Amino acid sequence: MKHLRLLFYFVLGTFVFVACSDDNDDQSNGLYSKGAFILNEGNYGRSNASVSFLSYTTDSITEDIFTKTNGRPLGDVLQSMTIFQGKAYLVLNNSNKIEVVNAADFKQAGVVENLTSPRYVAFYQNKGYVTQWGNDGIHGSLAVFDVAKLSVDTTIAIGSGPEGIAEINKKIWIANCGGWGTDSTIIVFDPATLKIEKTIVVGYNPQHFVLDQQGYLWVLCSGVADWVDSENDKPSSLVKVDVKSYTVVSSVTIGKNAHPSIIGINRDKNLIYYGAGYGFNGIWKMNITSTAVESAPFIEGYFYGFSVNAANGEIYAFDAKDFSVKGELIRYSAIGNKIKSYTVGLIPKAAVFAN
Amino acid sequence: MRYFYLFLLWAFSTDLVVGASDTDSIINIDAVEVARHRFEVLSVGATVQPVDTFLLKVSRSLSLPDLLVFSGLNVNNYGPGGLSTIAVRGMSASHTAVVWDEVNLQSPMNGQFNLSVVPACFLDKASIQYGGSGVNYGSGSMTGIVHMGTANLFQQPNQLWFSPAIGSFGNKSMGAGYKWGNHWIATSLKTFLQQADNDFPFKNTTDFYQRTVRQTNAGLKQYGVFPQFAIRTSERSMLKASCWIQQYNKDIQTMMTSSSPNLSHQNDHNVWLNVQWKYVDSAYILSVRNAYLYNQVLYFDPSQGTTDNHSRSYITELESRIWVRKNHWLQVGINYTIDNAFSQGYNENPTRSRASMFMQYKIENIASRLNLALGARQEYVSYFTPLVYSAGIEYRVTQRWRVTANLSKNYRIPTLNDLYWKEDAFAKGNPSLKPEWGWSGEWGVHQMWNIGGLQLEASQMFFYNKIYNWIMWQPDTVGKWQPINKSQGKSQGVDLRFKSQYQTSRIRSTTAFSYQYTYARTLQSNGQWGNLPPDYMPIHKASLSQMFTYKNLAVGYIHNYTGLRYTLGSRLPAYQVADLFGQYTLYKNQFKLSLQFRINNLWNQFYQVRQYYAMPMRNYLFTLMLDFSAKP
Repeated sequence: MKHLRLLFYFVLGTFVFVACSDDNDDQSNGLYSKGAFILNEGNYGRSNASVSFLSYTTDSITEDIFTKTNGRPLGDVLQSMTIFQGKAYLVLNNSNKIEVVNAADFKQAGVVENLTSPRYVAFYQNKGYVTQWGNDGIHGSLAVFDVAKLSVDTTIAIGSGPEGIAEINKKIWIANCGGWGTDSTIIVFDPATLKIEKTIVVGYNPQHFVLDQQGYLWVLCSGVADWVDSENDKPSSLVKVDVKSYTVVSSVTIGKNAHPSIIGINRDKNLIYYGAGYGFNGIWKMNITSTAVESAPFIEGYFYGFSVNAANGEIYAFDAKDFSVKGELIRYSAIGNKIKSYTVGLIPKAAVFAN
Repeated sequence: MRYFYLFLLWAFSTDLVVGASDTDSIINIDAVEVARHRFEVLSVGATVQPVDTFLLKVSRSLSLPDLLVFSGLNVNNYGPGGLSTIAVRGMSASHTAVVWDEVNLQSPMNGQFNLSVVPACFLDKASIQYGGSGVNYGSGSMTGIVHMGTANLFQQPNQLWFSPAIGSFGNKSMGAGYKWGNHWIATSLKTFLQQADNDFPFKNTTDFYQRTVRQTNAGLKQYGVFPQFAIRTSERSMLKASCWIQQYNKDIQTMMTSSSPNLSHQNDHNVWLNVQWKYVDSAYILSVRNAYLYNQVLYFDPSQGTTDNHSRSYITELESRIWVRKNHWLQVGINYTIDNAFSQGYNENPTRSRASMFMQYKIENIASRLNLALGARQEYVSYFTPLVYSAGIEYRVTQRWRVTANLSKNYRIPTLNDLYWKEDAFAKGNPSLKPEWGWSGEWGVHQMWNIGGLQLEASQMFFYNKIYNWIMWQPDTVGKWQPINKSQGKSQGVDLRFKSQYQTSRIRSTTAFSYQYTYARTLQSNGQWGNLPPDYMPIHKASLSQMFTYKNLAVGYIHNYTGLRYTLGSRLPAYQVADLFGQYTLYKNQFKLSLQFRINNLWNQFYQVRQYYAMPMRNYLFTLMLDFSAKP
């Protein structure tokens, strides 16, 4: 069923007809050390992904800093960005590569190629670990590359649609979200042996996870949407996992027909935020001690993505508009009050904070 | 007796062309006139740009989009062998109909037609009709029509031809055909085979290493057959059947920004059957036309496997041109079309029936200076579409000066994808969509001079288009894509043309120049007019060509300029591409052998028609054309 997305893109791509708005930004390049990188996914198949930079100093946006700095396009569908040892690793999903730049000035520093539908990257001991869905979007894998050489060392089959990834306690934790299919597992991967150490069954289609102040892992499982008959939907949930014993501690159901895709946590790591995703209204919060979700969203609205600034608790929510004009960043305070809106690039989805 | 024939043949329908040299009437119906398509006969005040017949003849090994580019027309091309569409005068490709011998080929599923699948050697003529004057062609002919046509077999000599070609990047093709006939019966068969690797080298400016690489996954294989059959059912009537069958397999070209080859490919399978019968009387011409169109697209993507999208259209059309009085033509017709489609994107296979009536009235040569035409069409598709109409005028001010004007109201019904795309996580159709409609206007001044053997022609045309209820796919409040009648579009501009031709018994020299300025805007989702043109629409476009023939030698040079374009906020630089060809022809009795050498992208320019899809640098094509024509 999910394969229809690509079919839809294919068909739509032949007749979408849109106009564009002017790029009025005339700021020159500067150092990107105090602000937020806004990741603009761009249109699938159009290679118009970009990174906007919100300067805390000037409170203004600099558009498309990669192209302005390096004189070439970033690529197709910017899935994520991770900063490691002063370098920013920009994962271009439909370009099958990771562009590497100096995080401070965004000057190009290399590229990791020969990936297959890469999603997210984590680092441990000078190795990069990339989740990738593979050509069919189901048989996913973990690509391991050398940070110095920027070449892929090995690729290991890992499950269906490996998505969120992080290094926790010298292990690489991976959420298998199902890709174009379904899955319900968290993988604990041992970088020393390059083998799967443990497979933990959680909820339906785990997407991403965060660590709370007590060291527990909270996994957002988006559930399964059956778009023909919603009665066949599988519920979404927040699953609490003990990272030491590799066991599920508890689970909180979000809703049978609710399918959020993004999770974040506040500065004190005691308040979980979840939301965004197709048809999901709002950004919700839940205290890590709660046993049920709240009855109303923390922030109302249909967002394409959001990120939480760990330094001050601010929430950056992203509105992709109609996917053909520039999107909007809406900045909220830690208590959910709107601070300001900014025009950013095409289809903004996430922010990476360089505080 | 004529009604007996009608009774027998209406179910198969017909098209035309009878050499009606009637002697029982003062009205002389010329055979060539009868063979012409109705837009050639009835359109008044509209700009029609035929592809030069000489260019068509020397382009047997090209595809239709290559031929159109070669003729200085603006074609959106996804890359070698890729999707090609044409968008006329600032609007979208779905607002330009593609018509083959009076049958609209636009897909009922997405409203478009991929010009790449058409080999030029299957055509005997091609024209672009600008503006909305073609209201008689129905839905989709809002800002222009691409007319593809075949000739009257009875007017062609019996012949055999064979055209192999070989070119750069694994390009190999072969066309062949014959036509045989006598006074009563005629048949022809054309075939075309092509294979191209399209693995051309280019410097990848999007690459971190700025490497020169070879294009991947851009190959194509095509083969097709095109038999035609014509029979005179009487001295006044003729039945003609054409069957176009082809397979077009192409790889989906890897974008420059991708670090690994694209693995997708697409197979197009087309069967178009067109059976037409025409009866010519001294006072009227009656045409009956039946067509069956089958279009299948099998798209393979590693993540979704193969998806099958196919449609069938059954078209029946009855048309009569009545000579009301001297210089007065009335055309009336009815059309009934059934569209049926299959896609994994639909819940059920939708079927749609459409019935329409159309008429046109033309008055010629009023005081030897004035031509007028009025047209109208009404369609019913479970509801009445907007009544559309057109009015055109041509006035000869002097022997050298002529003024023209045309105004029309046009429409386009929603596609089956628009209506019936099933709801899933990302999209859903909208059965409540209304048809698009709009205005199209054009007025122009034309001059012509003859100075000895030199003939000069110049035209200055101004146009304006506006479209309402424009159907656009947009995400709704929950992010799900859905088509809505939200936007408007408008365009206006100038179209300037100049042509000079000098001809003696041995020399023919033709110089042509054209320039188009287009200002086009669409209404944005925020209710504001956009401040940039639509995707890939150049503001400025120009073309300069020089053809020269001396005895058996022909040389041609075509230089095309496409100005700055925009796509989703990105600027795509202007580019200039030039092609050069030379041809030498040997004659021996009834045989003709032409050796042709073509250099495409003569100045070795790096350019992109679609953003981040590389185009071939300088490349070559060698074509051999062997023709045998029987004596008349």
